[in-house]
Amino acid sequence: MLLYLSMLDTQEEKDKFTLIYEQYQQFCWYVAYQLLGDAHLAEDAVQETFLALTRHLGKVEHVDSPRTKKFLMTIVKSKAIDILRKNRGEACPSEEVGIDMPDPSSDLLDQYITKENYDYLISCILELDEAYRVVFEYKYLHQMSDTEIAGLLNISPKLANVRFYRARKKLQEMLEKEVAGRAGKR
Amino acid sequence: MQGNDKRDKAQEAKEELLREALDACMEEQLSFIPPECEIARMHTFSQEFREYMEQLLRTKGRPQRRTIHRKEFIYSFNKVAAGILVLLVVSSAIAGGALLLSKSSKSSSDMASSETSEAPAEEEAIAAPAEEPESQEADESEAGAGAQEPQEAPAGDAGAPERVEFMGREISLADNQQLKEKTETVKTLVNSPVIARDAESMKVTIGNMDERPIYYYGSMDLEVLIDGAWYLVPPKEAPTEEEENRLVQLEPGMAQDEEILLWKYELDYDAEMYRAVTYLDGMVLCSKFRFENPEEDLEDALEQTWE
Repeated sequence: MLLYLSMLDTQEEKDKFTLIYEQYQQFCWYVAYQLLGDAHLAEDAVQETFLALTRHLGKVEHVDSPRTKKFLMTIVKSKAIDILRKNRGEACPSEEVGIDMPDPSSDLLDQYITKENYDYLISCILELDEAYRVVFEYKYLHQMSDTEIAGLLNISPKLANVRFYRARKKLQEMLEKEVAGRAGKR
Repeated sequence: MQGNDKRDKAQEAKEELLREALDACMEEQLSFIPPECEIARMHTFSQEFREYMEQLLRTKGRPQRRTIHRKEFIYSFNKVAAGILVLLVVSSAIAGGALLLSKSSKSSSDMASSETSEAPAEEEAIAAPAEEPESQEADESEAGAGAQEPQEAPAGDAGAPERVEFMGREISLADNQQLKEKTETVKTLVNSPVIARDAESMKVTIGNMDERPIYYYGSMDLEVLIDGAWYLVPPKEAPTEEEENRLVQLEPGMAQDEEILLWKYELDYDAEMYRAVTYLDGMVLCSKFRFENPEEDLEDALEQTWE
């Protein structure tokens, strides 16, 4: 057995990580600051973001690509939300398990996702709580599994699933309102 | 079937639409973010932040204090062992000097006085330190696995050969002879102190009772006790760098099982004792075990029945 226990990964990964950090540190801080309104807490969120990134470096193909920027944006938003929750003294995520999960059979979101409703969909997503939005972003934009999402949100996969269904239900309710409003105008 | 395909395609189309909408929203969010240089003018990162990130960049995600080379472990242990040795030498020299002094004073007084004097209490007091190493050994062996603790070579034992033959190959003396199984905050434990001979693997549980996370190397060493000294049993094939460097983080209050694949080793099932050595933050712990010996185990069982 080799005597050394070096924990460094490949040079390529290290370089990639360094490049990402150098390129996006300010961007990440700004995104976090927008949500937290505190420069120091925003730095904490950036630290958490890069720590999380070390575990998902494989998701980053090209440092300069818009996808990388979007991926970092989602991570930093979710980390900032996490800090915000903690600072507000909101219920520990693990306590949320006790709350009922929305019934997947009542999930009618797909009915409202149509080309005709696209503009409403956009406006609803923009209004959607960031905590729900990041779950969507992880799932649909970054193609992450429940387990991966759970890891990034520091919650159990079960709770990640609960959040996903809640996000869907919330978006469904918002779209329902929008569509009903449109019908009323007619 | 066609109905299902249609439904799947419709579902995919809806997901794609949702993805498009999410992407568009994100683009909009991004459009409000000023360029990096402008943000840099707004905010200067704190010293704390920079230090943390420098550390993170060096180790790609793990704090630097976790990057402990096995050589450092060995060096630290050797330093401790050398310190103990120096202390022992000094204390024995003092004790020896005192003994010589008392003997000379006794013999001179004996010569001066009659031969009927009683045994001096001093001698008893001087004789006591000689028993100390035994009690020390007993303390150390308390950290061991079972009651049937075999005699081990003390740390840095000069008597044990550096290399011995084991299962047709030469193996080296382990760097650390005296190892503990647990500390106040970390504990390692094998799934069973007696492993079946046909077992393909065994488990070592690492428990973290500390209030902070600990890191350990998932790749463990296997050592065998031969004539009172521990020797490193190398696997048949050298592990990959990835296997060797696998670092595991263990959260406070959590325990984690690590598997040792026994088929990867050439093992002597009749050996007196084995131990799995785990390298953790700044320390090395071991958990001892042996392989089942049907004859001996049967004898023990019979003895217990008779008792």
